[in-house]
Amino acid sequence: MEEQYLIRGILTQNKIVFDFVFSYYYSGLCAYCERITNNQDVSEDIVQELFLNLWIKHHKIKIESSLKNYLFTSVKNRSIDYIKSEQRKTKKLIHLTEEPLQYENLSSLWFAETELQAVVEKSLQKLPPRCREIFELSRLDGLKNQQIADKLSLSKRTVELQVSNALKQLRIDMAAYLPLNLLMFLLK
Amino acid sequence: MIDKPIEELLPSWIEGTLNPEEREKVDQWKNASEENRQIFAGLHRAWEGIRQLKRMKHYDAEKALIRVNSKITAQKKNRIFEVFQKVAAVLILPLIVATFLFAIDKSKKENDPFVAWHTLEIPAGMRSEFYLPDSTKVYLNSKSSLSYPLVFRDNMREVKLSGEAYFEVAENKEVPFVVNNGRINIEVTGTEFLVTNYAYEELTEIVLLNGSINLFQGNYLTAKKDIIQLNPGEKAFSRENNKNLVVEQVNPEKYIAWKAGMLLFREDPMPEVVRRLNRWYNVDIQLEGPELKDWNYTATFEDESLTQVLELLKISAPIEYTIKQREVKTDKTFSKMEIIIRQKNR
Repeated sequence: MEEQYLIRGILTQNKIVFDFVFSYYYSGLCAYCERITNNQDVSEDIVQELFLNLWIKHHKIKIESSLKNYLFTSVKNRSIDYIKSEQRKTKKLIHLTEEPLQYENLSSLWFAETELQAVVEKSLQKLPPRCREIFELSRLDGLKNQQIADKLSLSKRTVELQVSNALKQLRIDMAAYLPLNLLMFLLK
Repeated sequence: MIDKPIEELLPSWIEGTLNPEEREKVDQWKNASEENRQIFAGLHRAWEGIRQLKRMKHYDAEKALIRVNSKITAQKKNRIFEVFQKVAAVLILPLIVATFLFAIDKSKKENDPFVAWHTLEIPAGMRSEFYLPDSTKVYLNSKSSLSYPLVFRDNMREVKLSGEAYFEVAENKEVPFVVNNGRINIEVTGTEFLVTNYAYEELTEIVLLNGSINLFQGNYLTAKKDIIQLNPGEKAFSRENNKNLVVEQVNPEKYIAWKAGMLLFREDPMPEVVRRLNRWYNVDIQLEGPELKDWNYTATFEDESLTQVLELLKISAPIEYTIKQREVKTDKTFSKMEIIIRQKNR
């Protein structure tokens, strides 16, 4: 119901709904786009262009599935278009061996930042404090295992063990969340 | 008993830091049962999720929304002008045709004007900066020469380059600035870019910093064949023995460091490092052994002598070098200094 409200808001140029949807999905869409295009600036352009289009051509747009599905699929299509046009631009001159694009199962990355943050947060709360601290240093701050070991005066092996424990917890929690999501969008 | 060490190996597997033996162990475990495969896939997803979250943090929705909103406002204004624009296009068309015919007529008259050309040559190991008659600023690197007319024509500003130069082109949309390199030429209206075109290196490189430039082949006025338009931060390069032109994103900083008297390497492969050292110090360095070609090097040099640079190279890479005795040639001058760099035996 809430979803229908948002969609209607977008399609009737409700500025408050538009701003909300934009703020809610922007970073998630950009990060997803970046996975495909490998370029932060291009990703921002693509996502901004999508929303601009959504506002201007609101009367021509049909959102049949969910809003999230619509946004991420549009970003995916635009990203692929971008990559193809980049290839075409260079193809005239460059005759490199053609590599097929690989997008794996990227729909598992259809997250808004707050959603993903919540899943990770909830999962990490289940960990013992030390384990959590180590994991955050490792995965979120990007420190090497040895650096963490030095910082906390632990052995490298302890750090490795704690990181893998944390990942194990995260795996279990995200597994409950992800496949359902994945299925929903793959079936549509 | 087996289960525990495997769980510990998995994070490193994803990061790709396991040795072949451990990797083999993980692969075996992964393929042993459907359950293991599921665990592995789940772990991969969790890890991806974390990376994705980190990526998201780079983006600032608030700032972006301001940009989109200003575009929305601009769009509204534009729509009012849309009708007007269609009318304007029709009105302007005859004017363009007239100007064009006039331009052709004029260029015929000027077809063969007597204009003196001047050539500036920079010897090895030196660099120079100067202004062209149209107040375009040029930095010329070592062993380069630039030819230009003392008075530019009315319809184009043409220069000829051999070697490496950095241009800050004075803006003039009516009179394009054209750099003639022989094989791949450049058309500009106002912009900053770098061209490297040393005949003996059989490589043409063009890096754009600001503005926009057109690459073309042939004569600008009579047989211009457009190739591509470059965007800022892009480099186009082509080797003499190869018909292809490659365009890629680069960090322009390292290409223009020489004009500030610096030598910059940023994850550059060894052959490139050697090529630039040769040019910088006017020496002849040879690489021995194929393994060296895969070595990437990062460093910044400002006042270091060649031997200091080589010593620094030795510290950070598994190499050793020997300097060959310089020979006295028949005309009593010394031959170029020759240096051989080879992989250190372990």
